[in-house]
Amino acid sequence: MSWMQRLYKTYQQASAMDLPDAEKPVPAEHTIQNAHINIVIDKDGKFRRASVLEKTQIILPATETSQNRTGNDTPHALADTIQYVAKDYNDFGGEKKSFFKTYSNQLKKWCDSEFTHPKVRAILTYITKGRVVADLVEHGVLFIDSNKQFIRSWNNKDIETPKIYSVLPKTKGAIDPRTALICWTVEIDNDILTSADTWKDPTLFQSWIDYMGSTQVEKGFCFVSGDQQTIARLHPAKLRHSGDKAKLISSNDTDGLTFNGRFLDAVQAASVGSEISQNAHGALRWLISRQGYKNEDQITVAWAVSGKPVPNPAKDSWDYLNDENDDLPSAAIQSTVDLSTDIGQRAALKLKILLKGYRQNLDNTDQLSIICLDSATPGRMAIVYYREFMPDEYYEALNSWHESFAWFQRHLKEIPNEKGKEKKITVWPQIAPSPFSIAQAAYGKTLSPELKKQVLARILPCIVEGENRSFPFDIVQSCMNRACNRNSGDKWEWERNVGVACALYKGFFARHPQKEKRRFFTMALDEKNSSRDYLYGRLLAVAENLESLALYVAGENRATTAERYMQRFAERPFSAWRNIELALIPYKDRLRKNRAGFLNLRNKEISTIMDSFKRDEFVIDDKLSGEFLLGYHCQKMAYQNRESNTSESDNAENEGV
Amino acid sequence: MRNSISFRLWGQYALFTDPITKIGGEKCSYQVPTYEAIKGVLKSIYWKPTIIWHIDKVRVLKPIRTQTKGTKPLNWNGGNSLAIYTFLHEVEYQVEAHFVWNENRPELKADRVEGKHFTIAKRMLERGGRQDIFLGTRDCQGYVEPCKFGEGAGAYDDVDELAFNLMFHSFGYPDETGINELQAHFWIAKMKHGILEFPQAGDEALISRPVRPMTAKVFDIDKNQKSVENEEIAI
Repeated sequence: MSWMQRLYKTYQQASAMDLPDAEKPVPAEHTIQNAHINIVIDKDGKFRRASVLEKTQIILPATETSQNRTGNDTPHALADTIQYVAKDYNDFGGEKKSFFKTYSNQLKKWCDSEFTHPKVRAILTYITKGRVVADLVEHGVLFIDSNKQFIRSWNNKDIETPKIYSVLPKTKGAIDPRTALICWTVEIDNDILTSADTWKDPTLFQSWIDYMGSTQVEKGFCFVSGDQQTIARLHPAKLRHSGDKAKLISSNDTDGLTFNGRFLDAVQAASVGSEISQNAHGALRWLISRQGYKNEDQITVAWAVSGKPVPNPAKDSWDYLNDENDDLPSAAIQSTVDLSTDIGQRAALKLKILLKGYRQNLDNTDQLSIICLDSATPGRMAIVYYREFMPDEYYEALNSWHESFAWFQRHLKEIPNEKGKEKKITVWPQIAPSPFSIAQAAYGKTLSPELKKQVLARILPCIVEGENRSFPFDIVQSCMNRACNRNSGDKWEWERNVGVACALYKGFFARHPQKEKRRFFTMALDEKNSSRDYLYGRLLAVAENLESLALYVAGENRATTAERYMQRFAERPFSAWRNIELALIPYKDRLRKNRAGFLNLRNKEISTIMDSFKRDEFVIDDKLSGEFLLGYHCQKMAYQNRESNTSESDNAENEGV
Repeated sequence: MRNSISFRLWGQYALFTDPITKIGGEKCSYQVPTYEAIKGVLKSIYWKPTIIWHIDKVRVLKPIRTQTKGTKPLNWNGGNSLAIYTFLHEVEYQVEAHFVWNENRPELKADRVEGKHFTIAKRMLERGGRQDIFLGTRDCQGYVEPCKFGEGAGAYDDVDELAFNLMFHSFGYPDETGINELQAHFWIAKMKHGILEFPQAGDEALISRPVRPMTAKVFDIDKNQKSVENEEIAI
């Protein structure tokens, strides 16, 4: 299928890229594992020294079966655990059966073939001596007691606990030395070109790949390339992390209903070339670790085959604006954002420039793909979304998303104040909400990991497919319901919910599935808008503003009547407004003494809004649509911006939470 | 062309399973139908062992949209497992196809009556198909209706070419190929201006691969097959 083809091409490009070897994708016939002990030998197989490695992941050569092994006797090619590598494992109290024979036979075959390597020969010489554990004990890496048995847990408080005990996984407080993975370093004195460490030596990788290629003779039809290749019997796992057992292509269901019927075994149903499968999976693993976005188990990756950076649609655009170490060409980051003044519009502009920068970095013929993976069961992984794009298509879609769904979103920004310390202020950039905020705003405390995944999977097509993909209305509906309820969370959560709900409502109508119902709302306060819902929203905002100032002046920290009545207002505006107006009277009295000017201003505004209502619409008590939230928020933001520009910033809401 | 019908095929969901994902159980759909899937639709409309349907052209009308659903497929030994299937959502195609006589069945020569099969096929198409129409898998219900191929606007009319790489094409069953084995055919799929033109058997664009040995089922008039004259009377 095309996604495998794409990944294979990406692998080829990535291997050719100018990256340090540690950052390249894992080649075929190799796997990644944590290594614990490093043994250094010379070219004649003589032991030099050994040490314990902490948190080191290495690439080691392996066979298809050993990559997928689960405890039975299948050795890796070179670096493996003590149970495989040490002939003298059982002499020191090793309880399990030694797997030395299979390991050394495999290694010997490699050495005897035409693809042998001087380092491998040195290692074979060393292990046949059968002194691995003995040498490790002599040099203080492993420890034995007076009976020459392994010490499993360190109880001696006088001597500091040796590193080996902290590095190996513990069961019931005791370690099992047989699980220690040994990696080799062969020091060939005159060889300065290749790294002495066997896991960093590309010539060693290649010799193993060539040897494996020569041993596999049987070929079959590959479903990805269309030609004859050695067929993979097992496909790689470990895509999301090195302990991940989920496989994209899994072929072991011989007594289930997946392919039985016409086909008698899995290879009849589908066969993929071994090299293609390993390389494609290697590329996927590499992409996930580099630029994947993790949402519980679900991973979203956006990539270009050429390896150039591509913005990930699942990521929050606020992160893009604040990413200090962007891997973006410097030409794009020209404009700096002046944080003390209106960040709203500038943020939107900066985002646009950023996206343009990414776009200009790509050629017109670059191939972009987006894949989203998830697993329902631990052993299998499914492709939840896959789509290929041309650069223009993708950027048009992203721009459309950020324009249609842009609204004031609540974010925190750290700016240094006069003393040089970092202070957090609330800013309201005009950008689209992130999928994570949408999920939180729509479901709040009932948000479970599965729901989070589902929301992202539903929203992803809307972000990347452009203006013809309408947004699911039920998410908009739940966001609006929760935004009207002041008690849906803490104050900052509620404010954020309002921002998200407005953004979604605006975006939904910009992309309404029925073209005649499409409407475009502006983020600026529209004083000419005389629709009933909008005006009611504005009224609510004015009332809230009035009362909140009165409370602030009195030093009280309560929710305003407007906030508390918001939900009822959305259902029955006319009767709720009556109650709010009555409740405002004592606050107006308070303000008449100290803030007469302000009070007059607000009173005038209330009467202007009342006049704007069409003849009898004010008295209708019908439920309000989401447009009232837009009016409410616009008015609220207008106050905020107006006041932050004047010196008289009495409004308590300007301070960060 | 002789014995040619053209119809509109649509449905809410479609699942043209990619074989690579099929074996794991987490089925993901191809973006365009396979030859075998459309042939299945034609066979549901009307089919007799005497004829072989050939598909000339398939036109994609609606934009390709996927939707993922979690499902609980059955296990052989009872109970359910969990899987995630990726369907195509809101699909509509126009198909033009014709049938020829199956020369691999000489015993049915008497059934090759000119005109009768075609009449029945057209009548069945008007009634929406003789058997249930499904798009790929049985859970994706489809509907058919006669139409003129090429009329109406399609989402991909202006798109020069969309390439889909190697895709499954169809199976070669022994009763149609004459060889006693099951074959799988593949092709490098390309959609030009929204139209897929599948290669036919014998075309070098069709890549074939044997799967396993298989023998054809034997059909005998009036023993396990109704002759076309009796069929026409019955309908």
